[in-house]
Amino acid sequence: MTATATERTSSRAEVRRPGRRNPAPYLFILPAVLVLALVFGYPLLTVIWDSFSVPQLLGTSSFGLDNYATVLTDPLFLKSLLNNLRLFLAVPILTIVAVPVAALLFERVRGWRIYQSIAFVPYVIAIPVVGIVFSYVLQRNGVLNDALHALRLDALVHDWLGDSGTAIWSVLFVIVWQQLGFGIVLFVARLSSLENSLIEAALLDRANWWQRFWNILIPHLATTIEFFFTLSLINMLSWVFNYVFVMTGGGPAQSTNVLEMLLYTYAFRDGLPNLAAALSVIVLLISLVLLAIQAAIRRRVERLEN
Amino acid sequence: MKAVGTQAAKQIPMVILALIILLPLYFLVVNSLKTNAEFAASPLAFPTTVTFGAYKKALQGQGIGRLFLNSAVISVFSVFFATVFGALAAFALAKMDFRGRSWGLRLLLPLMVIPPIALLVPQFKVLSAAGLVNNPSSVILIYIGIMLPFTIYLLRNFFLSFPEEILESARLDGNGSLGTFWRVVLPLSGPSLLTASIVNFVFAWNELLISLVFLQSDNSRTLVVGLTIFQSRLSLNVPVLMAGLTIATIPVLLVYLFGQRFLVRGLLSGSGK
Amino acid sequence: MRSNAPGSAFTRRGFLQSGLLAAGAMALPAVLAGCSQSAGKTGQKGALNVWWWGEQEAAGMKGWMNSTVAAYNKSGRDKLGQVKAVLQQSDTLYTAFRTAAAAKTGPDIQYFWGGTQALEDVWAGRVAPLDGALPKSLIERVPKDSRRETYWDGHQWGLPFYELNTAFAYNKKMFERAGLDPENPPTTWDDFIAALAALKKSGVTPFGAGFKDAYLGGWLVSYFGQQEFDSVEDAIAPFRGDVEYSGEKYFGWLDRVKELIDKGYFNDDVLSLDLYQGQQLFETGKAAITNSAQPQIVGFERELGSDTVGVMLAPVWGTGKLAKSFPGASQVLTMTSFSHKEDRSAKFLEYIREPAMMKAMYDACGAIAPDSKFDNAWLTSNTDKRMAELKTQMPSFWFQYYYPFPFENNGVTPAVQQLFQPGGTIAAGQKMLTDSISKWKKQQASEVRAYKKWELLK
Repeated sequence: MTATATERTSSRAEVRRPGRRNPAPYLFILPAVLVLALVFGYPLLTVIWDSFSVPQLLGTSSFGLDNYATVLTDPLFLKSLLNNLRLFLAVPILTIVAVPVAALLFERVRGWRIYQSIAFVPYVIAIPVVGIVFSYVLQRNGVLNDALHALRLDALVHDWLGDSGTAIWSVLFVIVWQQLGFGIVLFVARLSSLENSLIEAALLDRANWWQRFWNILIPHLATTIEFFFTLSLINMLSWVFNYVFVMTGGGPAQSTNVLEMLLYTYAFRDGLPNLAAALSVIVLLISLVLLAIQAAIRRRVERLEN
Repeated sequence: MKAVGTQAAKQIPMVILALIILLPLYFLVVNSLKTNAEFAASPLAFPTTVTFGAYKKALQGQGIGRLFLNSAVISVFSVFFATVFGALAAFALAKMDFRGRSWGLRLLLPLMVIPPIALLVPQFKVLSAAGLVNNPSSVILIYIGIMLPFTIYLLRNFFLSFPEEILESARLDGNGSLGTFWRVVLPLSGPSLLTASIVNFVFAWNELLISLVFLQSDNSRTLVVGLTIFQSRLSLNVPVLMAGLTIATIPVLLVYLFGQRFLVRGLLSGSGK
Repeated sequence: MRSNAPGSAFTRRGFLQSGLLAAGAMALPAVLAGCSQSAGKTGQKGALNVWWWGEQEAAGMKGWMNSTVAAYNKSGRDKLGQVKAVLQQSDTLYTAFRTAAAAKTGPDIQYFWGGTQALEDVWAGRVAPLDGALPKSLIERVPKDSRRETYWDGHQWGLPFYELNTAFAYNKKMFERAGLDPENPPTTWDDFIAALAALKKSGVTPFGAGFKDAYLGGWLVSYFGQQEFDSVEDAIAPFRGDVEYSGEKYFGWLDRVKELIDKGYFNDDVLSLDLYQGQQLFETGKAAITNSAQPQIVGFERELGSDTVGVMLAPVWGTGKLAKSFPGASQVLTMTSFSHKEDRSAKFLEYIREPAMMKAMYDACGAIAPDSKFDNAWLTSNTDKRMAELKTQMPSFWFQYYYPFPFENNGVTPAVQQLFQPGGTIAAGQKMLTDSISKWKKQQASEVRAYKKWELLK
């Protein structure tokens, strides 16, 4: 999130005489700040407070790290964390598929308009809808297995959502199915800002598709790829609840239980809000670490770009 | 010959992708047009006779009209305010210097990593104390909050590259900050604003957990929640369930199809530099 | 909190409900702290509010309730005001109550699902004991087995409102075709296995079930998990901390379930299907047996004919005194702790327990009031008659209403789910059961204390 050199210059050009109290910017950010304070600020403070508050007998409570200890020693915590880590695999998959597809679309492969329209459609469909439809398609006796039968690929038949071994990967597949379009459109957009002269020069040099791809398209996409990568990692940590909730409820045998599901269980099913609060803080800390790593990588990528 | 070969080679991955994307959707729509018996017999085939009976059943008695209205009101209001507040804040973060600016910038991404479920309980405490359970304004408020970081992030990137000359001439014309923003910047930001609006609308329309918790009464419930809750009743009859899901999807699909021209342009100007 | 109440045919709704539940429960501190509302300390006058549920699992109850309330109001028995009964939504049954209770307003009479699913609110102080206001004679008309579920700390907290029994529905015609006696379903485990084998040989799925939505576990452990118990004490002893949850007494049922799975007597997609989808296999003639709540079985009987649908209990494999037990449970009505209209509530509860009212309820929706003055001659379906007959032959006990929910959630459900998967083992299942109890003890100290105070009704 650090501003680049060019950003700093352009905004400084706009600076209204520094030192002079100008209320304008504060008024501009005021509505957003108010909403964010109400929706994020106060609840966040409450959660942090609650995480240190350990309920004792007769409605009293003490302060301490007990909640954190309880959460961290809950075997389900580690299980859930591992499941989120498994879902992280979706991120490279998304990137590796989206980038070449975007390249093809950018190069106006035949029918690109249709392909581009289709690509984004899964993204606009509600997760419950996606989840319910796939729940049917992936049933032990559902259409996917029927198709595999028909293709004589019986060895591949599985109880996709009902088998602990395949359930989390089936969830991953559905997530990728839906999120791919966002990446594709994002990359196509970025590619459209590529200067034609570069491509023409490459063609004159008789560069083939792969060479153009690696030497021109990828460098141009570098920061966008990094942005998409970060966003997707954040998604896999904090925004997959709906998928799991609708398709598996965390099962079978807790094999798709993710951190958000554990949060839900603590807060809503077991009535343990303080544990939920501690878990929330833990998830936030993990995310912040991820972001810090991302920022470091971004700085290095930008240095490469320049 | 070679050109044709490579053209064909390029088509193959695209076709495979298109098939993977379309098949579940095909399953959804095709089965909404069948009878339950027909679905059980052949879940993948075309219906021998297209019937809308499933749609009729899905629509009756669920108060779908009310559900639709609630979803529409909430989506439109939250998107509108998120875009307006977000644009204002994004502009300030892009083009104005003020104390606390860098802090504001640094907060954006961290805000996006908070799982919505983590804050649900304290949010519920506060809003129910304020008597706002079953009141759409509670959900609208929370949606705006959730949408703001991404909106600000996206629009700020766009505003950063907004030409200085235009801003200068606007100021020379005697416009203050607000005037410049309102009369000059906004009209030229169409694609970005639309992109932000589309992404936000998709989020608001499809959102499940928050509206489930805050809008519990029949009158205030949203469409996606209503359908998920009625799933158990509907799903003994799969075509009816599929019909219901299709009905819930159509509005968002329309919004997307209408706005997709601007989507690419908007994302172009709004994403990474 | 959980719609694991037998017979409540929800699926993912259960999860949704629990979400709302605790959301309501979370409101408690904030509202208490910040709310300047004066406590709803209404005097005895005014409307008597009844928040109830049941239409969803016994269709027709709403009509009965409305006409009963109208008649009561007209009768003038309650000189201080009218009764107002409001049917609650499944997903907000608990949340709405807990939110209102937090502000000390809300209903005077509140409905709960039975057993521990009602006791949670008792332990939280939201419910008042009945034995102060209700006449002893009325309470004692309720069979002890039903009363016991909400008898705690020396008081009766819930009035069993209607029975929710569960059993197996079986297809008489399929039995015949497999060479089995359609009128005499198996009662012992060995006969059961033999019957399933015969059914499988005849080409049908012997037992249709769905476990994806996590409800089946509670049913299975309640059909089979109590059969080495000698008394209800055995059921709550591990949660009180008196004994370890281990040994054949507490683990034996896992082996039985695994036997059924290993021999292929279930459909092959149990983990792909939701509970009702499993039951649908019976309805659509693909499976010979399924488990279901009594009202649903009555529904099957009506739909498919009483010459096709029969009802049987879970077979006996155990040797404990409770091995042969009737799978009986009831949903309850309670008086709220902030009500102050106990006498009026008591009068209304007495009214709905008058024989004429109980008969009307049964006629309207098939719900049976657990009351000695309910006349079995009123029963109309074969299923109801047979179940009433079986009920007199053995004690009633439904394990699910005696254990804390996390035991099911973190223990029973994953333990059995992994058994349904290739590579599932008994040892892993056992560990999940015991681990879930240790975890519950660690995380839910106040509930553990409540269990320690739980002296069962003798």
